[in-house]
Amino acid sequence: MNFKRALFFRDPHVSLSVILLFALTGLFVLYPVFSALKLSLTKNGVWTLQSYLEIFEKSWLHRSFFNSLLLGTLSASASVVLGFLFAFGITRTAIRGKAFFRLMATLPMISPPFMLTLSVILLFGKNGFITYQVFGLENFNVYGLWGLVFVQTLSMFPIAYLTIAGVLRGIDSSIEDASSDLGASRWHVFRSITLPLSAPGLIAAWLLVFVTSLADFANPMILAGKFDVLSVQAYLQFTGMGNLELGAALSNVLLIPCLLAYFLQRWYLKNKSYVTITGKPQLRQRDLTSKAVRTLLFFILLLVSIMTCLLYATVLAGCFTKSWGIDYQLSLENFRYVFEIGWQTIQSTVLLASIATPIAGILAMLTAFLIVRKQFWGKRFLEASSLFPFALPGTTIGIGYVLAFNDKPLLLTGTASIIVLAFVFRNVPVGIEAAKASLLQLDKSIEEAAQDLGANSARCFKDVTLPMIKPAWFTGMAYVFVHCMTAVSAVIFLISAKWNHMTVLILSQTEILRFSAASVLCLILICIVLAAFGLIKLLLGKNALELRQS
Amino acid sequence: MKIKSLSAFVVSIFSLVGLAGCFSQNSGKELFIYSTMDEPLIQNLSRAYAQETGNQLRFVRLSTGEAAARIDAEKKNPQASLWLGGMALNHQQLKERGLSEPFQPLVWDEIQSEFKDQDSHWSGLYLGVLAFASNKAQLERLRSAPPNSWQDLTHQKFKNQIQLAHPGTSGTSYNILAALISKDGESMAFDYFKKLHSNVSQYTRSGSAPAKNAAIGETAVAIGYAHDIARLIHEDKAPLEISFPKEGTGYEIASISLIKGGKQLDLAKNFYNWMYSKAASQILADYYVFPLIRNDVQMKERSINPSDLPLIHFDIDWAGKNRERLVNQWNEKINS
Repeated sequence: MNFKRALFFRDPHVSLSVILLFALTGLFVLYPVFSALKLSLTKNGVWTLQSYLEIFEKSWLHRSFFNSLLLGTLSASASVVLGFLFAFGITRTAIRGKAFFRLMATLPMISPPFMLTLSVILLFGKNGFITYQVFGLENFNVYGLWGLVFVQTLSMFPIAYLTIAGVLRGIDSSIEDASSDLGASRWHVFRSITLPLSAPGLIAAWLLVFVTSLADFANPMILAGKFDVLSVQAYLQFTGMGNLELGAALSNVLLIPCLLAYFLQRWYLKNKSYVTITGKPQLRQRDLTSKAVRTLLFFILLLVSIMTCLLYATVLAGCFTKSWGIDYQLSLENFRYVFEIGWQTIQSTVLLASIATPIAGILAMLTAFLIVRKQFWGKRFLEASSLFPFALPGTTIGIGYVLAFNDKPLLLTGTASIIVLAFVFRNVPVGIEAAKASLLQLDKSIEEAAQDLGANSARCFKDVTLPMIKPAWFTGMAYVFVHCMTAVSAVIFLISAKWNHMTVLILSQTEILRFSAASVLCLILICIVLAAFGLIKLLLGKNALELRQS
Repeated sequence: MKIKSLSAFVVSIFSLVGLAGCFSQNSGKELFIYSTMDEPLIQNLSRAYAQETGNQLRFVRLSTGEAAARIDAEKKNPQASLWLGGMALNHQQLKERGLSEPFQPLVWDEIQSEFKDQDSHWSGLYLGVLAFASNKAQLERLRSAPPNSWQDLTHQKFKNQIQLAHPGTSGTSYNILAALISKDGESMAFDYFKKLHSNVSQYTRSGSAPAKNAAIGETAVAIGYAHDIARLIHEDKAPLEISFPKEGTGYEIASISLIKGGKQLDLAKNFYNWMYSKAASQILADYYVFPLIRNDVQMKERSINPSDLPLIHFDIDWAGKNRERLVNQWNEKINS
């Protein structure tokens, strides 16, 4: 006890910050999850496993679980293949049009959640522009598993790309050179060196996409047809049927594969990571491809990029079309309509995201700093619990928040605060990863020097650490902002008459088939995000926004 | 020093969050409601209401099930004071859970007794009757006439060509379920839905989506409300054909109720009364809806008058009390 007290007083700033972070994490991360768990294990106030038994007894419920796993597996595998092709093409070959491909591989990161689904229906639906108007295909059915795999792959492969590109860039070409000099063919080098070395990246990417796909709620909601998935089923039970216990249980079942995948990924990266940012000049990297392979790769990337462009162009065209599917006349009517129905919502979305972003940023930086630089009791627990929301599907967070903050003393349902808090704690992990990465690159001795010269830890943090990690931190913030603007699966549970969110509005416009209005909303959302990026670039100079994926 | 900065940090977090909470609360009279009516319709109503009274309507459009669930979730701190639209049976459920507030609008005595709650917890605005909407081009392709009975929908030729909403979220769709059960009894009705299932391409979240999907050709046949379909045909020039099941069709009483504990009940009562005014009725009529309180409004030509159709009546009380059981059964029998 005395020892602990001594520790506490030795550095009260650190101790107080730690206590504060523990309290916040406990209240806004663990408590909601616990609430959802508790509810799913009770029925009319009695402890019971009934809701879970129901899931495994009733085929229509457990089928949605296996459907989710199937969808996740297919989307993750396809995304990793595409992501690897892009990453390999861009980082390791002398392919032409790299800047363009890089743009195409990151663009879907900032698109609103329903946008690609929307374009896919407009283009490939029963009455789709390509399937019906151009090719006259009748009964082409895009609704269902394959349509979903297509959309999820196109919208999620950027996650795989960013992860794999990071790993490929870190592979030292000297091993490949050596092998090549010893007479191995290019294909042999690729197969026996490059591919195995990038394996951890591939696995990490696969798991990340898998989790994202499981948690995806927006695309299946619209495109699933009769293919039930767990996230949608949880929403239907919770919100549609008012069966809170079953809804919570379903979202907790979703949690299991997500957590498993997440911890597997972290464990893998921890054990196998060899990527070191040494600060040495960029190593020369060997081009392993022959001309023919390069050409083939080029055309594959081109095809995917054209598809992405096409989907974006469709949304753009949708904005100016009177009524897609019925009347293809040019019209500006949609903009008027959107401003009439959506102006308040656009305002509140931007406001909520702008409030949540800096708060998430400050919390993230503080957490990262403490984790990387300080020793304190419960450090690993703090790290794990503050990164925890990253593995949580949005539905779980949404449901947990509604349940946890539905009563005094923390009566928050229907307020702006609940949305802001959900944004903050859902996105803190993004900020932590960004801040942590740059902190780890900083040599501790600089801070030690400051402390030796008499600065206390607060001063040292403010005057030494902070300025050095600022760029990375701002970049992290940019992505937090994007996540807040494009969030849907958690926020759909939290909106109210006063506080609506653009993505929920896009969903309702899409559902009532006002595709043009939904397209306009997507366009506005993209413009807001790009404007925010522009602002940060302006503040920080040119290279600030190099994409960083945690 | 550090404690100061820390507390400043905490204070700034909470003041920011608090600021967000107050934001827009001070801009005049704004009435917060949940609405289950179509977005454009409620938009028209809100504009007219603002023009006449100066009060702004702020709403979230939610499907029937979503609205009911949300009002339930927020019962300790209601965020809206009124629920506009949605089926009477859900308003009845709200009443039974003690979530609504009794109120008699000025026109109370003019509303037929079967279209209002005897304890004044809700009252009907208009009747919506179920109808089939078929896309003309798709019908031609399938070489079929528009379906004109419930049985027609189960025909082989309509495989994967039919859309309706999910009865769990959509009042419209639960209406179909309840109507057919009260017509044929449970086992026959579920057999029917099982057969229908293989012809259904997708169950949508909202009840008005299927007809719109038919309008743009995403589905050949949809089940929806006649007034929605009529408006799509005559206003939006959608290539649709409307038809009715000859065995009789279900109907909803689109209703309105006050939410218990709402923070703006007085303002909400004002709006409640306004919904029965001539101006509001005219807006409904312009949307191809037949208001229950007519006020000599000018009906749109080719509006469909529910009293011209064979209707299947069912007990609202029974339908409300059995909703969870029937929908679960539907999930189990049909969706497996």
